[in-house]
Amino acid sequence: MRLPQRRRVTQLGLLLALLGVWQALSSLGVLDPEIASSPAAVASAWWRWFTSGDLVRDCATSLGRVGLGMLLATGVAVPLALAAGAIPALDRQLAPVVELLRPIPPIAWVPLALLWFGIGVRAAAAVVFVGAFFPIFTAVYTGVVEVDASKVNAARSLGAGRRQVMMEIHARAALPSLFLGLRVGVGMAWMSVIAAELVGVRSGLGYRIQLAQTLLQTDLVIAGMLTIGAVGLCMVAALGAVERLTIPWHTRPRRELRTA
Amino acid sequence: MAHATAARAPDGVTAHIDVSRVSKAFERHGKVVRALDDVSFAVPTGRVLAIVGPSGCGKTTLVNIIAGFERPDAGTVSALGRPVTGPSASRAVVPQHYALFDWKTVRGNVEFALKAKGISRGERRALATDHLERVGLASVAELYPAELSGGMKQRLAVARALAVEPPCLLLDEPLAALDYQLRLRLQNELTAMLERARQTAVVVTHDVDEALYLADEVLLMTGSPGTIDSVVRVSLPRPREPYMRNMPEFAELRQVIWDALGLVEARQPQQEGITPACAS
Repeated sequence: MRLPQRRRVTQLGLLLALLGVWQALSSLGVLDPEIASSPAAVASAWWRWFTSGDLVRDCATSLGRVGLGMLLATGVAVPLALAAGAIPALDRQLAPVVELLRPIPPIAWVPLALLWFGIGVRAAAAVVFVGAFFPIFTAVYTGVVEVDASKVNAARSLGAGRRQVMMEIHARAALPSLFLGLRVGVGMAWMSVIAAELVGVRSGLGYRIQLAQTLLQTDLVIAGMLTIGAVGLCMVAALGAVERLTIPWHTRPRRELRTA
Repeated sequence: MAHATAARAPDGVTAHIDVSRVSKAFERHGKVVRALDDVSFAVPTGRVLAIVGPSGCGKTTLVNIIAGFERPDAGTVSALGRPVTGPSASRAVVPQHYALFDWKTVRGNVEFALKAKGISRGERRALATDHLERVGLASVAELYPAELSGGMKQRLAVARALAVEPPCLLLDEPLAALDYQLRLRLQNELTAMLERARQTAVVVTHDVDEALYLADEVLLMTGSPGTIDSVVRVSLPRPREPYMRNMPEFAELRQVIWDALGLVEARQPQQEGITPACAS
């Protein structure tokens, strides 16, 4: 979505207004700095965090876990969803398992993950895996199952075999669903890794916030939260860019051709 | 009269498509809907059969059964002398809403068909260009279906089906989504195309003129349960030309079909008929 320059600027209006109100309330002494630091204090805490090199390290740690967990989740969820969509017998066996495990929040897996994998990257990646798996699986499965039957029929009536129909109809038609799943999945993955770091995994952005809270560094807590938000936003935006490049037929604006 | 003997293949002519005593029922909202009831007809080699009837009379079900997408509850269908057990490139379909592959370019849609036919990767490109040129789409080969006009989509659906060089072609409401003028123009293209390729074709339509313009025989169906009402032979030479629409024979056949479908009274307006609006 490429907005005209002016609209992009006005889109930031509310954000800037909120910052202004927040700063004003802080300057007037309405907000207790121990409970809600001023934007200026948050900014300077962020800057100290950044110049120490810890910010980049914390981000890299958390992102690495998300990357690994997402890779595993995508690698398992996509083939499984394709297979479940194509093979009803497998689908029937899989459905109760998926439906039982899906409602368990990723954070509830943290104790088990810590027991199994220790406190390092593997435990965090396992929690990310759980968070990202279900959105990706569900989206791809839905995409495959809801592929327009008339397109499958058209392909078969042209003489296409099972393999060509699977690879060029089901898998391709499900691509927009895959990207939807990845967008939701990466959001879940990001939330999962922060949650895991808050409650047990001892490094990364979540752990930084938790540490700052115990040291009563409220400004750093808020700086950390905003950073988490910003990184999450960037991940979804990056995914959107990849999506536009990968499936231009789905996202490309329509050029109307009215010559019959 | 469930058996359309008029559509039987004459002796010595192979019936390319043979539908024999086909019945099919569905369950919808707990009720059994008899979509087809004891339907029989045959299409001789190189002939075009149009199926006309009101919505819900089982036209599309019939085409789906011939295509092999659905199995009949009773009766048999054979094509090229073999029983139909599933879809096959020998009975390519131009589907109702085209069913183009949105994720492939115009060229990609045709190349898909060529790949299904077993054409090697190296030859596909040039062949696809040939097929697209034939329907006037070579200049938009790299666009996606979403970027095409309705007429272009229709032509692409036809080009894609013809790319597998099917002996039989099934067209399900091929022009229903187009405006009137475009429909007339594409009817000319279709009649020329069917003549050139000498395909055996089944065209489903609810447009009586279209059926008469394209087909050698028009099968009239009535609904619930879907049965064959009668068969009308169109003895005008093919390919049809636009002037034929105005021939008395064409008008008579149209009236025959209208009568059979119970659509329009044939009587000339007299005293109690149509009176000019300004007279009173």
